[in-house]
Amino acid sequence: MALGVVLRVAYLWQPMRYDESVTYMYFARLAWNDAVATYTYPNNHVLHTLLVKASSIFFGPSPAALRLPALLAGVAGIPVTYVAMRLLYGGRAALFAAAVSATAGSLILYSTNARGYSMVVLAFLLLVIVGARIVEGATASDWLALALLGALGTWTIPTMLYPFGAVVLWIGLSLLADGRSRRRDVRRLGAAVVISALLTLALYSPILQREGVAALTRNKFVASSGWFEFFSQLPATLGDAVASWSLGISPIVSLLLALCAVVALARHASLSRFRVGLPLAVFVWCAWLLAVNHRAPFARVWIWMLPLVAALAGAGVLHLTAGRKRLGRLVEQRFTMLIVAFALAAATSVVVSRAVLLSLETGTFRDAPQAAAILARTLGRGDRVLTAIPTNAPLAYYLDQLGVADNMLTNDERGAARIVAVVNQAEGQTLDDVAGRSIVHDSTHFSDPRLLAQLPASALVIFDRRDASKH
Amino acid sequence: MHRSTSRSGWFLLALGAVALFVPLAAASNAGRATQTATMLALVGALAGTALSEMALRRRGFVGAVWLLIGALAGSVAACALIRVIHDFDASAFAAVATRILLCGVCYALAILLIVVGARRVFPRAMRGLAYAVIALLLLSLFPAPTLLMQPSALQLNVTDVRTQLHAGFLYWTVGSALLVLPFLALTTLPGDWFERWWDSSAQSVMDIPTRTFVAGLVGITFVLAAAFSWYSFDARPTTADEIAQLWHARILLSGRLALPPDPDPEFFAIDNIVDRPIWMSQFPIGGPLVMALGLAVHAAWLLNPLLTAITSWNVYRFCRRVYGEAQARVAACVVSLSPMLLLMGGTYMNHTPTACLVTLALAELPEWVLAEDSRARTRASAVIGGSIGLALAIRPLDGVIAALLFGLVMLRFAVRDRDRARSLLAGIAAGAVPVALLLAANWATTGSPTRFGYEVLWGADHSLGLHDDPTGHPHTAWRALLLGVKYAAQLNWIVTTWPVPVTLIVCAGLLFSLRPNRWDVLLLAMFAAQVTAYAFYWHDGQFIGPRFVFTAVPALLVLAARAPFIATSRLSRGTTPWRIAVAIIPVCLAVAWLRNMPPFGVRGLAREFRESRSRLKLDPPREIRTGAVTNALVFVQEGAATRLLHRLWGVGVSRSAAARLLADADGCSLLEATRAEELAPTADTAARLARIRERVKPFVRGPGNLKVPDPNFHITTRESLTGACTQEIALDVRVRNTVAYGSFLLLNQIDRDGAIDGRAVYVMNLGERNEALRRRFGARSWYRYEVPLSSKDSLPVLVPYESPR
Repeated sequence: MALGVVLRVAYLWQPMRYDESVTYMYFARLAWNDAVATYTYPNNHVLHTLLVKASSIFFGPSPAALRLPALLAGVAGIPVTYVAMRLLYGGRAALFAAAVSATAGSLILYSTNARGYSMVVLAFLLLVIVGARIVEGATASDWLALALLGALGTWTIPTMLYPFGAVVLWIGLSLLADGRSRRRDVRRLGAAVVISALLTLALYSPILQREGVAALTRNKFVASSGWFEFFSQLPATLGDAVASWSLGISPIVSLLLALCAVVALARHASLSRFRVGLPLAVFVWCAWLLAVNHRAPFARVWIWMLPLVAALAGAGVLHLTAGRKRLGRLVEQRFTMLIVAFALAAATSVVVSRAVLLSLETGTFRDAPQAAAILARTLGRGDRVLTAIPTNAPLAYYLDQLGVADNMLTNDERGAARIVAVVNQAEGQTLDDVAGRSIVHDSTHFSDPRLLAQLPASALVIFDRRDASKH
Repeated sequence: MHRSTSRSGWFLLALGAVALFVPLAAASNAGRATQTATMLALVGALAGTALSEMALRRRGFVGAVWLLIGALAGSVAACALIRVIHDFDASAFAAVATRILLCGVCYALAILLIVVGARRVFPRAMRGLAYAVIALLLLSLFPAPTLLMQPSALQLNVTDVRTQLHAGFLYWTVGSALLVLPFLALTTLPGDWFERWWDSSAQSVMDIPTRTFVAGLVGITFVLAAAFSWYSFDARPTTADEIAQLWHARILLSGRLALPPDPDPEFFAIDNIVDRPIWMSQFPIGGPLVMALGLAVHAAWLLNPLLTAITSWNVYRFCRRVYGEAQARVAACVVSLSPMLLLMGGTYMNHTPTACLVTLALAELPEWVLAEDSRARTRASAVIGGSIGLALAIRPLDGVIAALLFGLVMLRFAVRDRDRARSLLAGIAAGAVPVALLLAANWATTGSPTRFGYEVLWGADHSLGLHDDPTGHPHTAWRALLLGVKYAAQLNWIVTTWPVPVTLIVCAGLLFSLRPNRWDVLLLAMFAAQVTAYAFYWHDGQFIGPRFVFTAVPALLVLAARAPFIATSRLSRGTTPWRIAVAIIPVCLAVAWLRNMPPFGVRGLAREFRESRSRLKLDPPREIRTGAVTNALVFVQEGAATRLLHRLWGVGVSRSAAARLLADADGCSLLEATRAEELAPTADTAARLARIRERVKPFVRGPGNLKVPDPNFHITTRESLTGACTQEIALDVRVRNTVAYGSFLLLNQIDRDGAIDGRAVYVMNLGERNEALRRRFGARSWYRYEVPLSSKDSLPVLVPYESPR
């Protein structure tokens, strides 16, 4: 837990990324009623946005403050992983899963990124706890918690449908497998799902009212694609997801852990005390939802599965070592120490590899603070900054923090005295990518480019207007 | 049938398959001689292995090393053919022999590995079937289909199926994991719920009285096929083959076997209709005769749906007799829900009646084999003979394949039983009648009983075998392999459109057998014989998948439907594999039929056909239908290349020679040469062809090639343009789209003398050549039926002939 907190806090001040900058610039800065009703991009993770807004009101708009809700959810995810996975696979596998949760690069990344993904992970883990309680004998509060968690998770990101549906299916199948004695609970489950859906509708009603249903269901990031395209893209995004889970960890270790997880899946009946495995429900539900929507989602949408996969890997490791005398005894006697050692090794690997910092997830502009400082010093009235995605939003955030007018990034190029192109080399951009369609190519009006500043991962290039005096 | 303690055997089998494929992969993009040498070595090695096995088997156990030696000897013996095969004419003997021997060594090793592996995995009784199953897997799934992804496949004039194979790969991997696996995963849930559910579902199906089931089966299949016909094909003929046979059927209904030749054949010609010295389709008389039955009752579009329904009934009858009621019902359902069968049933193609007749013979075969009553046997024999004879009169090669296979089965039983032997006579007599009619029709139309319309139209190169095709492309052994692989692989895509390849299910089922079932072997042989025979036919039959193997599709579907039954008989009830075996086909059927996922699945396929061939799904002009315009001559305009082709046919150039000329010559010089011949007095066609060849300039591909609306009209440079050629191109520029003439031929009426007549006569628009019709049709009002350039859609309109629009 301590290691997890330290790792997360260490990355809390990393430069703002594209998506989180958009969250703040386009949504969290708005008035409360606008923040809950605006969905110009699916970037608005509404519940998270509101928490970011609250945090920024209390602590100011610094990156750390904006990331506080994600951080809290990410930190809370570590003990909750232990509790949830202990219910599924026992204490030792859960401890392993918690160690992975604490040190996994992608979970650290999304705990220090002002987005709603760590909240979805937390919501899934809480749902697993609630689900396990329901399967073993539900109380009224469990049903209420199920409905609330589903609704709040979906209010955070609509892709919560994946984990929420998986847990609901798991509960439903478990109840059905228990036979007729649980028929009443099956009906209650149906009622809880309906209540959750109604609650979600109510929470999204401001958006539905202002933007319409299509903004949620048919925006360009979630609208169905052709089946051929879908089948072509899905393996790649799933591959990206699995690769992102092992961010900062050696591929060999990741592969070994994946094999252990596969072993655990094969031996699931003997490793879990539940008759119906949660992984089965997860697979079935996600496959169905994918088949219904036929759109390959972003790799990060699957991040909520990581604690579950980690627990499976743990269970697999324990199963494999149990069959070997010496190794089994060693694991038996020094389990906690081994887990701590594993966590330390994993944490060291993540830190040394700088994988979290270097990850391009959600769009990066690592030099944004320095670039903004240089631009703030250099730019004058009538100057224009040329950027491309994902450079623009982080730069806009930092320029805003420095009090530079936000029209520097948007005003008409034709009237600009100087144009500065920000080339984000870490994202593979070239000057042509950024200024390819700009009027700076017109050499009768603009001088040849000259380097304003070369930063570690980017370059600022300036074009002076030849007839600047007229402007 | 496999032994569980045989991991090393499976490994050896896999290794053997790799070794077998290596020489083929190496030859895939090589020259013609290398490819043929590789194939020759393969055939030699396989023949050598088979001969060694047969020769040594009598002594008892045949050591694998002897088979290896046999394979090597076979390859060495194959070298003797080097000087006979023309593919090696340009190659040195030593180089070809070295290639054959190298490949032979590789194949011999592969055969050794496969034999040793198979001996470890399969019990002796099952090995033959196991080899067939392995071959089917290698040819239809992996790795042989990768040969079709090579550029050489396109160079050999094999249809480009790379996109289809890629889509298939995605569907059978990602699609299968996403659409089928979740359902199969659910079957692993604990408890006996699945068994209870399955038992009650199966019982409710089995509780349906036989008559009700059969009536439902036939009715549903008929309705589905008719629905496909209506939805996907507009209940119209959409291919030249259908049009030709329907036209021939119309000729038959006019009381003639063929029409006298039209004086202006180029205006009415279609590439598979013989127009000189008589006018009829190129197809054997059986197909048009069947269509004539449909036309006679004014419901030709419902004929094939009806025959499809009867096919499913035939399958049910066959399976019921040999496999039992439960398997018969499942097989019948699988057959009646096969999109390939239903789509083909929605057309006017002659594959459907042929498949119906072959399955009728198949349904009677167990009756003949198993019946104790000699009368029943004689009756069954007569039905088998009659239906195969009829099939032969429709599609001779399909009929011959069925006759050979069923004949062998019947002979095998007849040699042991004199009474059965006597009943064969009834079959032979019944079969002889349609065959005699076919030969008589040939005699009356082509002058020889054994000469078919195909040969009249395309020449001797149209025949089965490895030689140049009528258009001059070589049909080599390698191309034959590619066609065979293509046919087998494509079936997975279209026969069922399941997310799991149908051949995989067939193979998995057969691999579970304890001992080979003779009926399974017959069905597998039907499929293998059909694919092999048509691999030796030069034409790449591509319509609703590999149409040439259509007759064997019911056999494949029966084997697929049997797979779960074979598997469950070997698996413990209630285990996960048992549940998966039970659930796989219902799940695949449900996914393929219920999920709309174009281009995958049944609905995607139906839509694909609905949206294609729109040029052939046009109504005749409204003015003529309503009677507002009568006594008209209507010109229908195709592209410049087709017009030129028609004019070449008109001056007596054969279909094959015309196709070669069009492909190789500069369009303008060819047009001028044709014009010159049109003006010349009638002369013998051979001299005409020689003169045209002399006059034309070859088409030289290059950056200076002129781009014209019809990409098949090749013009080398602007300098090639002549006045007439410019006019021809201008004709194409004037319209937004061309209109296919084929379906309009069918709108023409045949008068008592066998000449074209009717309220409106539809002819091809041949530009300046149209004036040749003035004398004959000058009294009629002339119109053009075309899609004007200004039109917003692709629907043609009737405009006066002289209209500039």
